[in-house]
Amino acid sequence: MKGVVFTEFLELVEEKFGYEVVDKIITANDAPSGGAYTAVGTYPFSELAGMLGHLSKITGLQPEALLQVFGKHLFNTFHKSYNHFFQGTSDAFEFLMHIEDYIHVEVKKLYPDAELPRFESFKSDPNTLHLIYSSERKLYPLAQGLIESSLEHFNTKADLVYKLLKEDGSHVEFIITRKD
Amino acid sequence: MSDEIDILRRRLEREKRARKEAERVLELKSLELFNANEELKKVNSHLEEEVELRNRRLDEGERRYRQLVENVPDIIYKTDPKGIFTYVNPIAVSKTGYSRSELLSMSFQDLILPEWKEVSASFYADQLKRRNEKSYFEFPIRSKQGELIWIGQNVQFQFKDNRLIEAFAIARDITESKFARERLELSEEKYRSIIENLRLGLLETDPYGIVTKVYPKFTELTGYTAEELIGKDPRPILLDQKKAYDILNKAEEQRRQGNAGVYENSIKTKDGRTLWVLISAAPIKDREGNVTGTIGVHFDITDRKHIEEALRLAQHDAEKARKAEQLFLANMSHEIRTPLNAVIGMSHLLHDLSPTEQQLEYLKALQHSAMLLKGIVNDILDISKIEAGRLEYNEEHIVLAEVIESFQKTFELKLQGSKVDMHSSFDPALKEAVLGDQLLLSQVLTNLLSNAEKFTEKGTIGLKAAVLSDTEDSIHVEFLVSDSGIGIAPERLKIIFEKYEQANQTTKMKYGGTGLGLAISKKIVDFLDGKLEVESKEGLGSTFKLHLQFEKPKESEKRISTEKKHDQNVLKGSFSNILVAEDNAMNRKYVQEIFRNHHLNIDYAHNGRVAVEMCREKAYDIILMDLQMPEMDGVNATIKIRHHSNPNKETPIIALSAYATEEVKTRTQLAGMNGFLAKPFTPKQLKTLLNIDIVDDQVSKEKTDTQAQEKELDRTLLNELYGDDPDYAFEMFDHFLKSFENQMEAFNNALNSRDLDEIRRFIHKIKPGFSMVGLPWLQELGSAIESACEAGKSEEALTKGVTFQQKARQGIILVKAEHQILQSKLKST
Repeated sequence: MKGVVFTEFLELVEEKFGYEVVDKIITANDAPSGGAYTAVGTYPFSELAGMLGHLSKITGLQPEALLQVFGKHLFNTFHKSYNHFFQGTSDAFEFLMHIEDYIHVEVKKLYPDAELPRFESFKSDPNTLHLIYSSERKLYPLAQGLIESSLEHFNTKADLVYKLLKEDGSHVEFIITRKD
Repeated sequence: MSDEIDILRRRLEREKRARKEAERVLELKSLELFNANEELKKVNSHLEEEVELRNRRLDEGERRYRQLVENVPDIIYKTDPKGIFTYVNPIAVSKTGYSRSELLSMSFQDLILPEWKEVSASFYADQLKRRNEKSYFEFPIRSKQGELIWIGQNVQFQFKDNRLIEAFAIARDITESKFARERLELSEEKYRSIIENLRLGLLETDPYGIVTKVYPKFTELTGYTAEELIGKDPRPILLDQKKAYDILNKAEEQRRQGNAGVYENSIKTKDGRTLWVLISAAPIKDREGNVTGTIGVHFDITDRKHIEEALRLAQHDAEKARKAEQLFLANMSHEIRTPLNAVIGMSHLLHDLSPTEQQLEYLKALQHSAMLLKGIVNDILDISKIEAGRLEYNEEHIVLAEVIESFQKTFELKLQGSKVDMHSSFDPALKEAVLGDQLLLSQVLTNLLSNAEKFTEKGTIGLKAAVLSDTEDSIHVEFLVSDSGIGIAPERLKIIFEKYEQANQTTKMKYGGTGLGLAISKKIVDFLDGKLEVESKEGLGSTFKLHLQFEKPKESEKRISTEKKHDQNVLKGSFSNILVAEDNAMNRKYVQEIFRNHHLNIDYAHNGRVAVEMCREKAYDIILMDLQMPEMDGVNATIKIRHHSNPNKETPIIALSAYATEEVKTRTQLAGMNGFLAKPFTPKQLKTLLNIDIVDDQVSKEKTDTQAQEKELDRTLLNELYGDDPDYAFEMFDHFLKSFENQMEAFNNALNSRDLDEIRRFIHKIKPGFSMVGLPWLQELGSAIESACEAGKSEEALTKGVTFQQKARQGIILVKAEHQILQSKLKST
């Protein structure tokens, strides 16, 4: 998993809970990297999953909720660092429908070793967008956060529901319905 | 505090580790980037090479393309929309003579001949107007050097947004083919005008014979317009005779059999004239070779036909005239020969009148001239006869060896006393009889030998007969007649056998003759399917080579030739068959009278030739042969009789002649004669010679017959003498009357003088003339007076002399009357 996800995660934890919590989850996690993460490096997903588990224990908050917040944070980071992905489009649906065939293609060019989830999309009617998330990492709450931030970014008011297409959360369908 | 320090220490530791990790990653990335960059550089440089290679290939392609464009034999150029050259290839430069830079400032219109500029401009304007991208056009240009060049060009217009931006042209020098085409057109034009000028009327018909096209000349020729003929069968219009239809049908039949030919026919013009045309017809075929019709060529030959007809008539007339001339000449035989025979006959008669030495000389000259004239006339008559196709072939048995021997004898005699010898030889096989025409063969050999003799002053003439081939049925003989005479010049050899040709003019002057002898000989030899050739060297002599083929008679017909001696002792025994060869009718009568009461069979021949012919027909016991005879003399007749197959080879022959010289006697002996009796002879002399005991009862005979006889002329005798030739008879009568008074006066004088010798001489001289005018009894009486004189019976002679005078006076009245009748007969014809 790309190092940027780890550094952004610890950034967010430090911002919300202070460096003491950061130190605790790293120490508790006792990962091979020793918690020394750099954005340009690459680290096992298990280290993130371990730190997320320890944070949930310390804060008493559900991992899903933590991931959803982390998704919102990541959207802002992406918007700042990779602003050019956001140029040329002003519509949330259009942006979302292009994640798979445009943003992910560009990411793969920069980071050929990046492991990315799949986002298939279709419209069942002009105001209803279906996004199907598929990933063995089962991080759909993170996706949910990212989608919500996107809608907010493009000032789109919409209802967002999801249903697990598989119980383990590896395949999840998001249904976004425009409200205006 | 220590916790915080621990946390910070750990944080620092983590940050330091993260930095190092980041540095490592970055180092790694940097290396990766460097490698990638290097790789990129490599790819880049490879790309450059690739580009360079491709550029080079492109260059090569363009170079080749350019080379191609510049080396094709065609002119290639481009122009802008105004026609100004923007590109020209080297051929354009070399063809036009203008340099590249000159051309690039010119319009292609500048090159075109002035009179073609407008045509070409309007052609291309039209192409542009129709937006035709591709076009072909031919026009002449003038090169810088002034040469006229025909150009054929393909032009491609390039349009963009419907506007002409460029023209691309491939042009070719077609001067050669253009001129060839022009020449072809010129020659076509030439032949067309020739045909037009030849007045060839052309007519086209479909396969059913219906007129499809009429050419102007045909209209001109026949007067029928195209409208009058097209769509119709031309035959009923143009042909109006059955004959013309027949000719046409025959020609069409020929054509169907594939014999395309030209034929002549007559056609009828619109105004009713008849034209003769030469017609040639040829089938018209389409591309597949199917006959779609016929074209008939009609050439007016009317004028030619008229000329032909005139010529044909003229030729017919000429032919008729020639035939008439030949017929005339052949028929002249009798008319010419008769008076000539009279001259010769009379000259012979004169011999019998004991001429003086000088008279004899004149007589010889007269006879020579007469014989010469007769030879010429005979030659002319012979050649006319041959040319009139009247030559006849009379087959008989001949023994060629005998022929040769007889010629040997004849010429030996002829050449006696000259410096020329005659030599002859023959193949023993020629002793066998063959079948042939002896007369024709002898005529040829006589001509050849006479020539040899004529042209040879000293040396030898020869006759040689050799066998070329001898089969059971026939024998092929070569006769060589040679001489050592003057010879013939090479250039004359070719024409020597032509009519009226002699070796040269000098020959004619020196040797005389008609020049017909060899022509006659050649024609006779041709008639006999033989061959006659001559070889000669001037000054050395000539050899005539005669080849003739003779059939052999069947075994049963063969006669054996035998050689036997003739001697003077054969005149013994009795004679019942006598042949008298005598040209003088009075002499014939005389002999007849001598033998009157002896019941003998006497045949008469009036010349030697007839005597020879008669000898072949019948065996005689004795032959009395006058030496001086026309056509063939006695010596020659004797040679023939002695040397040719006939039943009289051994029959005694007695010569009768007024010339009793030793020379003549020797000649008769050499010729094979057995006796000699000088003229005039008495019956007793003849009877003594013949050893016949004849009772002279002439006088008693006279008494019984005269009364009946003497009232009119002896018609039988006259008829025998003159036949139906009043001309000859008139001459004789005229001659007789003119000399009668003088003769009678001379006789009277002799009678009055009582000189028996004188009387005998005169009566001998005048008596033959009386028989010639139909008074034979006076000749007989004359003979009796002669006899009386000879016997010295003076009384008898004188008495009979007076009777003679009286009877002659009576007879002369009859002669005068006949003379009148003959004269009026001659006047009426």
